[in-house]
Amino acid sequence: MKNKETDSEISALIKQTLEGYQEDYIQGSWENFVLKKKNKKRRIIWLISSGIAASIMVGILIFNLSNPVVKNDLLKNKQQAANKAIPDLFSTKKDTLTKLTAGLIPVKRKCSLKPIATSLYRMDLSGNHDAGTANTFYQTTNSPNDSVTITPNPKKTSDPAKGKTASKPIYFSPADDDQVVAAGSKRKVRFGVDFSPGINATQSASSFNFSGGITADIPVYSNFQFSTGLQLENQSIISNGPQISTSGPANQSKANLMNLDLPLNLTWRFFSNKLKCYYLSAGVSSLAYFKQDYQNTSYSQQLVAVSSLVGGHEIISYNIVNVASTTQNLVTPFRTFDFAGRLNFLLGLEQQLSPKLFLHFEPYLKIPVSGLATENLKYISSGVTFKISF
Amino acid sequence: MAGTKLDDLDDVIRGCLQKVEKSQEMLYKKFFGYALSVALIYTNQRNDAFEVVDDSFVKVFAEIEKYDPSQPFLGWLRKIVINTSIDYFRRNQKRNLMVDAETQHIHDHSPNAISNLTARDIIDLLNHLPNDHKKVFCLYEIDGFSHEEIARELEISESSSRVYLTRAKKQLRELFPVYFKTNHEE
Repeated sequence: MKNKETDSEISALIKQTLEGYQEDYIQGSWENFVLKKKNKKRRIIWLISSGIAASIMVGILIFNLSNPVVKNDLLKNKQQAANKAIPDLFSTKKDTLTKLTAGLIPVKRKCSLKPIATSLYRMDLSGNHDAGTANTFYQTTNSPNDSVTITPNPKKTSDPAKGKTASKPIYFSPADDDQVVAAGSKRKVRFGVDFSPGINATQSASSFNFSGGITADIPVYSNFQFSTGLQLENQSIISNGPQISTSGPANQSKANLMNLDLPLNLTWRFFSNKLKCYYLSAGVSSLAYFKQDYQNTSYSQQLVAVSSLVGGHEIISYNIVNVASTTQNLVTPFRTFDFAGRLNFLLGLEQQLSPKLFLHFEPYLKIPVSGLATENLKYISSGVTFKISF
Repeated sequence: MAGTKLDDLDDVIRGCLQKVEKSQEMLYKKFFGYALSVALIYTNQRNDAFEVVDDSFVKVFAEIEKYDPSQPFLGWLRKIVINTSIDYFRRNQKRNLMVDAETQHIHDHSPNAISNLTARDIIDLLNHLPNDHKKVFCLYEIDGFSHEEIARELEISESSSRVYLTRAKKQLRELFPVYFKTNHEE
């Protein structure tokens, strides 16, 4: 009984003391609230947009890989390209043909692509498209897996040039369809220009960046190529420091950088047809800075006296205000160079616009290996590169 | 005068409905202190209270059209701050458990005598209770929630709510003399 009374006394006391209790407004709270809201909004927008971009890319990729129509188109394109390549090959002079046959080995497997085989059967060495000549076909040593193999015809080849039957096999190198397609433009170094807007994100804030420049894609082997170039980047990196007062704005460091970026990436083209190509690229970037402008803003709270007249009497009250102080540091150009300072990752889509013009769409992520620039900044860059190559 | 103030608030709310930033700023500045005082009761640390206040105002501005002008604005705001505090507590439950363990033994405040108690003394005293007990006590004793409502808000059973309240009261009974002993002796 006594406990119950004590409990209600304590409860009443607590209730009574807290009744009408109200803290004062703390200067700078609204500004801090607005800043927080903006950062949150920016982060959400970026997350949504990158999510949408990634979903679209994955969607297109899945659609292309699973759609039988696209698959058939791809096969047709390859066959057409192979068919086109064959007459060119056979219309060459004998010595040219002999050169072409160098380094080839005989194929002993059964035919897997009939249309190509048929077109081959209709040709003889002079380039006439007559049927019924006997051939043994050969395949390049470069591509043993993707071979186009043809059942040998037991009949002997008649050589119209010499007027007698040829007993030696005819050498032919159509084997890898990819190589046939690549015979033209794929093997060339492709140059391009690009522009990429993006976002630099530190642990506490994010800001916009943009860059642009020239690129070069150098084929190295099969579906692999080196991608390099020279990019001019304009970056702003914002980082909020620890808050001294919980109500005031946090200290802020802002860096405005202008630098050259020399990327060296290895690109793997994992899906391609006549019009489209998807690729993954990874590598490193070296950075040279020709403008580094650092601004550090710190906030402190000070008491400021405010006098007012009430009923003819001067009343002095004190307000807490946030006082900002900013220091600036400009670094001389090309003082800092980050060799292989950043890792690059990108997923790309290449779309053919005309026979020699390609549009690239490349969402990317750049991660620092260590602190970058003079003040060892750590930030992740992400965005989308739009590129035209030719 | 009171009528003028009410009109002012109506204007401010109307502005907030139209997403006018100046009106939002006025509303924020006007009710910041009140929201902070409520948040301080329901959170253990001042930093957390600031977070709760900001999150609450985000909700207020986003859902201001749901506010019924025939009801007092302070009541609506209080409910939002309480709900936000509970959500915040739930989100940071792991961290709160660690802070609880650390703060149980910290006694860095010299409270006033009982006759002279301030709100801050009471808040400090309440912070000595385990989080669940404190929340149930505040919701029941200060904000007049029923056990059914508390159970719904905190996602616990009604019987748990009753048990927590009894334990909170018992702890306060024990804490009160210990906590204010120093001042009585002075």
